[in-house]
Amino acid sequence: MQRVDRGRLRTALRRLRARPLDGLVSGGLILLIGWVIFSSLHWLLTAADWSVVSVNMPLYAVGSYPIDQRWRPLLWMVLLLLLTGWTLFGPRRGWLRRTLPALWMAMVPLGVVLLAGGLGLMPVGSRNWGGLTLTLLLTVGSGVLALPLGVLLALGRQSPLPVLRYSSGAYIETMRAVPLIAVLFFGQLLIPLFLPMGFEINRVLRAVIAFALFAGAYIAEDVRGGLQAIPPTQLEAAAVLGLSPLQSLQLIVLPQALRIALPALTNQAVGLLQNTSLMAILGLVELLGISRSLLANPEFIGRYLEVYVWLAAVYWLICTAMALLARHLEIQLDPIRSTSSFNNT
Amino acid sequence: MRQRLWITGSAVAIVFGLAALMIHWSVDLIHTGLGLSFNWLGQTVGFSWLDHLLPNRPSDPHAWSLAAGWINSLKVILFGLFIATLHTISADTARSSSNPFLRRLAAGYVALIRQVPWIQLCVVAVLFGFAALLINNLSVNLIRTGLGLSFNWLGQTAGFALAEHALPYSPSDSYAWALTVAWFNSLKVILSGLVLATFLGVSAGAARGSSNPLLRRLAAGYVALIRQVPLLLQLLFWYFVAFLGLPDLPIGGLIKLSNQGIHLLGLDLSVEFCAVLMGLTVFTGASIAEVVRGGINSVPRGQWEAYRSLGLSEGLGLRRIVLPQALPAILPALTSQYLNLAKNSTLAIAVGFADLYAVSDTTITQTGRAIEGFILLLVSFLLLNLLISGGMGLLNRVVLGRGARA
Repeated sequence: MQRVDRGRLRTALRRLRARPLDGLVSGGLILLIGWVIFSSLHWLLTAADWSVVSVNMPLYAVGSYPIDQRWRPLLWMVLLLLLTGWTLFGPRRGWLRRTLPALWMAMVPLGVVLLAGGLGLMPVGSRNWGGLTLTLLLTVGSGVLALPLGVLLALGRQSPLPVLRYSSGAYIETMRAVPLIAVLFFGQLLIPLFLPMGFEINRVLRAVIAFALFAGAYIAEDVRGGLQAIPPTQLEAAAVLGLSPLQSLQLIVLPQALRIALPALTNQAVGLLQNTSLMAILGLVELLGISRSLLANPEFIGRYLEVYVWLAAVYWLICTAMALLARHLEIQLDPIRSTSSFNNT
Repeated sequence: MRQRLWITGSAVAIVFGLAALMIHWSVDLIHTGLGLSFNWLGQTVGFSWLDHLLPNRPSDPHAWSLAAGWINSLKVILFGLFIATLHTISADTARSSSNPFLRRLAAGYVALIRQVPWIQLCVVAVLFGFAALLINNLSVNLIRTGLGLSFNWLGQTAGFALAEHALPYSPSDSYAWALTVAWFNSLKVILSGLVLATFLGVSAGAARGSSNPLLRRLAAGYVALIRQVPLLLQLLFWYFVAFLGLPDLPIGGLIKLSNQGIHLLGLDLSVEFCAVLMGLTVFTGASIAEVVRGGINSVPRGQWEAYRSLGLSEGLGLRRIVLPQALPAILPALTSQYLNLAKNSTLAIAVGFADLYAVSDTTITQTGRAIEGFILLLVSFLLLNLLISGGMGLLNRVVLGRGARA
């Protein structure tokens, strides 16, 4: 152990002698990192006051949900966590594994029922939904809607029928040219204008629809990449086996295309989660929105840094967990089980 | 063939007819309320059809208004059938015409129609039907709220001040001018963001391949941290913590920093502008770093060995040998990052920078013209996107052209 250390030190010293500029850069960086660590520690020990985080933990988790009903959003989040664990560490094959996609899909209606009430539960208006629960609901809900939309759009763009091809193409290109905030704004303000009289949908659902319409276009491009990577011989083989076009799409083309598109789809999912923070501008009290209203509270005025550091940590954790989940899935889905295709550092 | 042409025409007529019918159904829904009763037929309708054959006044009863609506539908359907007939007869006549150009044109058209599969017609019908339903709902809602569609408000006085304007502006100027000024504000932050993010991204991307382990890890940490935290959160951090946290009185020499603004070598920058610029630069820089790293990795390792064996220094080799070869792989991905930066610049509204989206938002709130404002926003962004992708296309051609010549 010691010998290894001494060896490493000697290599470092030799490199320093060989390249003085390298040493200068290293020295500068060490000074910089040291200064950052020192000032962070200084702030942590002297100035930071974490009461704005610790006192308001329930608000960050579930928003202004009625206190005696808080177990409902918490139960939903625990179920999500369990399902994630199950996906990661559960059995690799068998019927339990095959029900996983259905379970993930079922989390959305389950979440809505748990949050909104009904079926014997006390009804709670969407005005009281908030915090991490709302962030997750927006992400999962719009993801579940956007994936089929994206697959349909991608298939439409590859279709031999010009009408389908051009209309899908036009939709995808328009959506990709517009900023997300404009689409969300459109969803909040304009969706009601396009609906028949007396037909109203609540703000959360409007946001989910807007997110899904937006993300669908991006997912379509990723899925198209997957579709294009499949050699035409696959389709010919399916035709030789006597599969109908629909069957070959369902059994041969889509499973392979989606597997190829998985890394890109993961990026979309992480992006979707991060983008739900935009709803704070449009007045939903999800994770960032609730922080904004907390910072407006005179009791916590000026505690920006604590709140932002805390939020960044939460977002970072969830996003990294999502990336890990996807990488795990990717390895599992790989029929050759080769792990060497990953060279992300 | 004549039959096919007839069917095409009729399908168009039916779709339009259905769209017209839906208007009446929706109006029925608005005015009946709940319960089954026909008393309302005698009540005053309160609005009039813009387009009518029967004389139509707001004081008329519902029954009369509906009749006028039905006549309108009939008009549309008859008109559609008339067009379909005309279209069939003219195509048929043209095919047997003595004029060779006309004959060929008609033959080409008929061949095109023949190729159209039935399913395609159905798709068109469904798409049109859906669009008609949406537009019809919209028009009913616009009639109901008394707004209609108009762009006259663009000439009215805006009445709000813009903290930041590159062109002369005062609150007494029109909405159109306010939006123009805001468009230039957006352009300003986007262009300076592009330049800075490119510098940062290329440096970080190159640093990730550096031989200095400390530099390499620092760059990797920067990318890993920034890409997993929402941009909006970062913008708020730069605004509220970094820039508003500066002291009231300016500090620094050539660059004067204070929470009133940044004074940079005779250039006065507002705090809002700096926060947006910083946030966009740091966020996009991380993505560009990934793009650059991918591009550099796509250059064969032999190229490195080649320039090292020629005795070139690492920096020179990277600049002269590796980066030029990586550019064709980098540029398309870079374009999409630039477009992302332009789109993300709309988050400036969160820190109060008067960019295009923020001013559009204020305009829509003041005038209530949501649809028109949205259309203008769409067109402006189309313009910005075209500007960026056009510029990048030019750059791409120059780079690839030089590569091909060499």
